This record gives sequence, C-alpha cells and structure tokens, in this order.
Amino acid sequence: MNCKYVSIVSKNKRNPFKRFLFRVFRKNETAIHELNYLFWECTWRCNLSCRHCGSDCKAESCVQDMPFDDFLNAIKPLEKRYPRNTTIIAITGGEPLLRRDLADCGRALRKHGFLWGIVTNGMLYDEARHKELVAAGMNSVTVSLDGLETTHNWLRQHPESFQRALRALKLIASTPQLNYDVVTCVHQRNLPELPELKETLIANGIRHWRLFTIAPIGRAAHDNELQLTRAQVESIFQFIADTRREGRIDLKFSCEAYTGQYEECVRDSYFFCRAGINIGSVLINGDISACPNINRSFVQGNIYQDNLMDVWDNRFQVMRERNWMKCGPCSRCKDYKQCLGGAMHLREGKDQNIMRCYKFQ
Amino acid sequence: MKLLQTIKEKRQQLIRFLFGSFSATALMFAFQACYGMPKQLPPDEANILITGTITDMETGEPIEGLSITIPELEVDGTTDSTGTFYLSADYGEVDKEVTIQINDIDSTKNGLYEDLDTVFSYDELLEPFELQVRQHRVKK
Repeated sequence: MNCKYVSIVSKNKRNPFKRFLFRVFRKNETAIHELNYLFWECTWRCNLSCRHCGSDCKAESCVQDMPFDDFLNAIKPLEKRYPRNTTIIAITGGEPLLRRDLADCGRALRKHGFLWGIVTNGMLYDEARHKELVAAGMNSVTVSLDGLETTHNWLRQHPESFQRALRALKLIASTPQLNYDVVTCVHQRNLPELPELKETLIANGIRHWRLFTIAPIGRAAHDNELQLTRAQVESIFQFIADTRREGRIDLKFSCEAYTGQYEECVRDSYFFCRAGINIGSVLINGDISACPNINRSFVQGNIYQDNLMDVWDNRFQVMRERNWMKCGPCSRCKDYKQCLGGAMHLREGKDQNIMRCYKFQ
Repeated sequence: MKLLQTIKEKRQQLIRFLFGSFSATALMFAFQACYGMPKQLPPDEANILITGTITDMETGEPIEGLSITIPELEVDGTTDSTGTFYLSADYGEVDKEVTIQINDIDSTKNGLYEDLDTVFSYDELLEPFELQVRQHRVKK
C-alpha cells in the first residue's frame, strides 16, 4: 500500500542542542532510577480474544488472579521510600475490570499514597462502574480503540466492542479529574481509517490519542496483516505530525520506538525507554520485571521470594546499562547514542538483535 | 565513600531540579509506559477525590442542586441528578478534620432543605459517603 497521507510538514530538522540536553536528562534519570510507574498484572482473565494480544490472555485463564493483599504487601516499601503521589500503579491484565474488587483495591492504593489507573478494553465500563472507580480515586485511564466500528470489532472479535469502548470514552472524557487517552494499534486495515477515526474522537469530545504499531509478539507474532511496511509506518508519522500541527487533538506516537528524523514532531519529548529506569512491574505470578510486554527472560525477581525495593535497587542492570544492545544493526548506527538500542520489548533476550527499527533519515 | 555518594546524589537531584524547573523540559517527567496509561503531571498536584450522595432524610430520594462546600479546603460543588457530588482537593491541604456545609441554592426547585454543617475526619473523606438532609418546614 502506498502512503495515504501527504504531509504538509516537512520532516523537522534535528535540534542538536535539545538532543544533547535530553541525553543529559536521560543519563541523570537512569542514575537516579526512581520507581514511579509500576504495572500490576492483576489478572490474566480477559473478556475478549483480540487478534493482536501481546500477552495471549484467555477468557478463562488457568492462572489465578493475584490476591490484592499480596501486591499491597509487596509495594509497602515504596510507600516509605517515595513521597505520596509520586508513584502510579498501572493496573493491567488481562482485563482489570473483570476483577470485582477493583474499586476496593484502588481505594486502598490511594490510602497508601499511590496514584492508580487502569488500561481497559472498555467492555465493562458503564456509568455505574465509572462512578465507582472515580469515587475510589482512580486517576488515569487508557482505553483501546482500534479503528472504526467494523475494523475495531474485527480486531477485537466482538460485535459490540466498538460501541462499548466509545461509551467508556465518553464517560471518561467528561470527567475533568481523570487523565486519559485512547490508544490505537495501527495495522493494515485501520491505517486508511485514521483521518475518519480522528474526526470521530473529536466529535465525541475526546482530546488525547496515542498511536502504536503492533509488536510481533504474542498472538501477533504470526499475523502478517497486523504488521506494517516501512512506508506505512512513515505515513503514520506524517499523519501524527500534521495532526499535531492542526492542534485539534493531542495525538502522539507511543514510546515504542526511536523515530529518527521524526523525533521532534511525533511526541512531546524524545524517545526514552524507561523500562527498569522508572517503570517496573509485578506480574501475575509475582515476578518482578519492567513493562509487562517485555520478554519474560528479563524477570529480575519475585515478590514471593524477594523484597521489591531490594530488587529494584540492586538488580535491573540489564535495563540501566544498555551497552549490550549495541549489537547487530545497532552496532553500526550513528543514532545509537540518541536511541540506546530502542525499546526493551523489542529484544527477545539479552544480546539479541532488535526485532525492528523505525529510524527514518 | 559515603560523602562521595552523598555529593553524587545531591548533584543528580540538582540536575533533575534544573530540568524540572524549565517548562519546556518539564514534559520529560510526564510519560506513558508502552501500553500503560498517562502519568499525572506534576505529581505533587495530585488530588484526592471527595465524593458522596445527598438524600432526603424522610424519603431517601437523591437531591439535585444542593451546594456542598468545604471551607478549609476552599472547594465547592453541587449535586447532580443522582444526588452525587465530586470535589477535588490537594492532599497537602487536607487537615485532620474538615467541615462540610450543605446549602439549598436552587430555591424551591427540588423542595426546600435545611442547611447542614457536619465535621468529617480525614479518613472519612477518602471513602464515598452519604449525607441526609431534612426538608425545611415552613411555619404557618
């Protein structure tokens, strides 16, 4: 497929001074490595069976949900280490709304000084649940919307998934105290729909939107229809740059990849994979890692055997010292010092080459 | 060694402070993890949410259009059609006890209710709560 969008913006010129400042900032943040974003993979159950799922969740998982008390006990050391409201707990899954105790968990997190939010498909997000979660101090929500109705329902394999996600988004967008955004995983089918999807979001009062491509992991690993060509990826960047220039909706590219020449115009700041630097996770079986979509060979400990804060302080070197990522195509790349080998989830293990690169000259 | 470590940490915090002080780079502290939701910016402005419902003491029906004020926190709001209100306050401002004042501000639209002042503890504020108000009796 040819590039659909003809950009009105030429690629931004690189700003060497800003890039230098950013590298100083990143180096400093890596040295401090404050844990202020913690995923909790609270369940593997899911009410959808999406074609692109990275965690390969199922409706009836054989893995039990993690008891909330186990998680709370594990994170109590964070409460002593960091000031209130500096660490956010990202409750994910599976589908977190399948947990009936979600509001109780959230309320307890707020009492212990944590911010919290959920990543949801929106299927169970009705008005009653919205009020319950907001009243429990929910701070931030991300809802997936992967195209116009037919395409979204195709990807999510459910005939009502689009309408329910949109219902959720309208409720969320009308609540001023919530941080939120919509995420769209772009693939072959929904790429041409992005302009119309943008208008749909704006018409429904939604102001924050983030685009992803689909990593070739989980169920998406073997589905070519979900992967994009380089030209198509570049057309996404041009679409984002144009939309950001319009200023009608806050659109950005996710933190999944360094974009080369587009770094100055597809996000608010430069690419920075914070996995293991600011981002940690407690996975469903208690494993301690960074983002849940990172290869599980990078697990650093387990809350049932280790102290989370000790693990955070004394391990994770593989994510903080990334020289090992300068291998394969990265070893010859002039942009390595800016990109540091890309995102952690694009490595299948230590010393493995990057799965793909979105650097454009 | 300990002194060197302390100096190093102070320098790191100074660099962080300098970056955070410039609005153009403050954005660097706001981020989303891949497949995670947005992190609030700035963290020290994080609010607590105070929410509850106000109902009629006799009928138990929710009441719309009542004003709710917490003077110590300088916040106020009104109840919606389900009698629910949402107020935001900064954590740092919350004292051990606060006064919640309820006033009927929409005249007789949904009936006429007596004013109510009640004291809440900090812990009570964090849970959704229900308050009941009494209909105003007009002397004949």
